[in-house]
Amino acid sequence: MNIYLNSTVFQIFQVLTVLACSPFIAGFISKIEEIFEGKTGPSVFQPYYDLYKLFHKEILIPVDASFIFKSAPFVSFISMVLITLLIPVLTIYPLPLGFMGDMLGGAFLFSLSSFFINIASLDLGTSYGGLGSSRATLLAILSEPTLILVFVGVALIAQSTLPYVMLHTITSSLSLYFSPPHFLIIVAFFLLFLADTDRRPINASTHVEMSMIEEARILDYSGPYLALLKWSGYMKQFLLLVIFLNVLVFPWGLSVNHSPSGLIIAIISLIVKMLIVGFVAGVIDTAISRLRFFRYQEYFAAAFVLSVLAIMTFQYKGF
Amino acid sequence: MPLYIYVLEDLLVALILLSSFVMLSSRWISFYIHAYGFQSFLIFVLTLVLGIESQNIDLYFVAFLTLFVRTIIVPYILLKMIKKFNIKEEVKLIVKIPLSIILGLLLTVFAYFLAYRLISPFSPKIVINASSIALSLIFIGFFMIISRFTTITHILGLLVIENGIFLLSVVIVPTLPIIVELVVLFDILVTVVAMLILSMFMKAQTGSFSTTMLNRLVG
Repeated sequence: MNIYLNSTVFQIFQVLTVLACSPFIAGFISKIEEIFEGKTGPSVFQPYYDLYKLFHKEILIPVDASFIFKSAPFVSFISMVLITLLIPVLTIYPLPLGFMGDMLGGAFLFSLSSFFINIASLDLGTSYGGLGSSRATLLAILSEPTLILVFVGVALIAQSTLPYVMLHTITSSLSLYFSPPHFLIIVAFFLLFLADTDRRPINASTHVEMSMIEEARILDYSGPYLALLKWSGYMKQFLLLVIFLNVLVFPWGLSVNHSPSGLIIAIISLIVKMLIVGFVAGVIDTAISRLRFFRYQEYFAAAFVLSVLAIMTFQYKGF
Repeated sequence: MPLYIYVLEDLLVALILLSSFVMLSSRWISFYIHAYGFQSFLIFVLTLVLGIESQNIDLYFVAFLTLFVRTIIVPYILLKMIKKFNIKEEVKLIVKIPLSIILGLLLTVFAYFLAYRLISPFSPKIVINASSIALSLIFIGFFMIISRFTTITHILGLLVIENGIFLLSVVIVPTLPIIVELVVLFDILVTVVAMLILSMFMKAQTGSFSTTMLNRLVG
């Protein structure tokens, strides 16, 4: 009984970590980018100030808006919280709610959130909303095959689609950790991460350009709704990083038992790992120029090739 | 044999295959040549690892010859040629880049299938993986020759085929007589020089390296 209570505490802390730390990581990455561009940049806590300011503004809803417009922020936010319950954020052992769904379930929740933002931006019939949602849908269509093949590769390696099993499979066999299928899957997933979080080869994540994708979809929102959407965007980035780090790249440093010290170590090591990857992402974001819109297929074809090669090399090697 | 050598070989052949895909997806000729040099360097490292593993002095010799000829001399000649003629044009393609990547992927899958059917009964799995990647290099080299118009990319496609053949021979028969490897390396040098001279003549005659105009040549 004691163990179960403790697992619940871990489960709660898992959600709290993601809620509290995701704006910090986003602020850190943008700070790194600004420093590489030769500017001082805003404080790393700027996303917190933004969220605070937005939550204290009034809610403005257009006259033509239907219930979809009002529900999309909540759907997006709640699906991010639900994904948090499915993946190994802090613990190496599965938590009680971790069996609610596998990685496909997580991917389903990600696309549910994206789908609701899409139809909400189409809801008002403004031109920017249609532009953003059609671009985002194109990106989703192009990245979906790679995502599925990455999952197939992981499922072949781990013999299961649960992220906890993949983590155990990698940590238990060093030869599997250093095998080509694993590295190819890591690179393919990193390319997907860059595309999904609006990073540079695909899109510039500022809202001053005509090329915006993510920002164009939420242009009609204001006040607390916008804060929720922004927060769920930060959480999406954080969760993708968690999957990338704790399931694929470096599944060490997680808590192995129910002790509070394990919890603290897990949180600190997670943040440190994220800062390293965030640094890399920031460097890539400033070093690479943006692709033309009709050359996105080349980028996604590269990711697709990587994931297929991962499966091929695994099939004929099979550690 | 220790496990880390298996893992290292596996990683190296996967990187070799990836570098050929980098070549397939690149638009600029100088990038193409650098990718070829990188691929040759990986093949050098692989040969060296195989030599260390099997204590074969011939393989060391072959490895360093590979480093010398494929990684240094050939890319140097090609890059110098590009600088001399001031070529800044993009690679001319028949097939667009995403489609050519996907076709390269199909060729790779076919090579895996072929290697598995041909040699799986009498060889360990590591050899199957490496030899199917070598086969796929050969196919991808053919595909590069077919789908690109510039003579320099024709040369590079030929060199990729040579790389594939060399990889296949090193992986399947590591105890190949050294004279064969010497002949192959000499062959490469002669091929590159001869084709470069030919393409220089072509540049002087038609004004470009593109082979699209050649069908107008009627005797």
